Amino acid sequence: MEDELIHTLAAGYALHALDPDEEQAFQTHLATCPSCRQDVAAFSETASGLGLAAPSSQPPPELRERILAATRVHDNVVTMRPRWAYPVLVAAAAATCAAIGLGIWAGILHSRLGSSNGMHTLALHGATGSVLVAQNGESTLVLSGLRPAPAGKTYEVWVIHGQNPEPAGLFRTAATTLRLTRRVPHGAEVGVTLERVGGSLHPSSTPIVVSAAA
Amino acid sequence: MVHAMRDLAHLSDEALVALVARGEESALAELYDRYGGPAYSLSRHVLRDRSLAEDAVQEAFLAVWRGADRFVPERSKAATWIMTLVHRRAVDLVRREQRRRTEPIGDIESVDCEPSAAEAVWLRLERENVQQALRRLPDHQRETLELAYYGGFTQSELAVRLGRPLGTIKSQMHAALANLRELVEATAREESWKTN
Repeated sequence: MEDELIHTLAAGYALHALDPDEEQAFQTHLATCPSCRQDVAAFSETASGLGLAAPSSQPPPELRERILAATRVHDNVVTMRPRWAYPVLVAAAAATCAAIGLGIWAGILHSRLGSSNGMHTLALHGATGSVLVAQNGESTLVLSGLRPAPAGKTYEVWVIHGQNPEPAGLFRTAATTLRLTRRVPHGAEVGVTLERVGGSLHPSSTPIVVSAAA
Repeated sequence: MVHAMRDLAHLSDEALVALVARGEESALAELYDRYGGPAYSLSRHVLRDRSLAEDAVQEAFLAVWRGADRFVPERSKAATWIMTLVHRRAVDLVRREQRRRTEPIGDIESVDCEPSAAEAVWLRLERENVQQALRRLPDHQRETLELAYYGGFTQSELAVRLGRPLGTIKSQMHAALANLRELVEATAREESWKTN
């Protein structure tokens, strides 16, 4: 009975017009219903025609470069695609471009995260940038102005709370927007050290970059 | 690496997505050159705000970058996939920003922006085709479609707004999209008839 009803939701789904719980239920249903998947595919094509039919307006020319810069930041850092394991010189060039995009990206992050309540920012010493900390401690490190990590080395991020620094992410580039794998509790600091590729469990030196306390 | 794939213009959208999945940035640039315009136009139409529209387009293209390896060409066209991503971002944003229209959506043909000379011919044809099909829909069906797709209203919001039972909205939406699909296909057939 419920099943029969759910089959009629394909059009609404393709238009992204289902109410949120219905959308979720339908999404689950799609996984097991090839005929609904087929409907959605056909309806989506028609819906995207509506998209193409929207009145034409010109994107600002800089949007293209901003998007490309954001992809560089994204995979320099966030996903660490293996293809980025190429020589330092190229990485340095890419990082320069990324840093340009990064300012914009950080700005967007700021405005987006800053508008959600309770977000605050920790200043960095040792590099340009900051740590954006959400109320629940989830944090993003936005930083530029380092040298790309030398061959065989990586930057490692630490959440330092009391005596015990805990690893919170790796990056190799001169600039990064990195979502930390560990929350930053009240009173903690974020630090960056240079470690062997693969990272360490404990920092091998004092941090070269350190944040103000959360 | 940046210069290695200079000439991508001859590749299909789907081939470009496959290259994007391998991390080829120039392929993403080419996809942007093809769909950045329509993506921005759609976002702008939904959001009615330049910088929010830019955000929506950027997020959508980053989603293309991240999700290209999961794109299944047998399941949909790349153009459909990209425009769907754009539309979802735009609608999510318009809902979050509480920027939805309170006034009726104007007739889609009476727009102030002229299509630019640089705009691809296929896009102009596609737009005309879909707009023509829209005009042939019964008024209440067109209204439901436009408010849902361009206005970002959910079905139950539409029921309240239009003062119709939710069940009616659901079936109208289904009928409207099915009709539109037939009309678009019919026009496309006529077109190919003319050119063959």
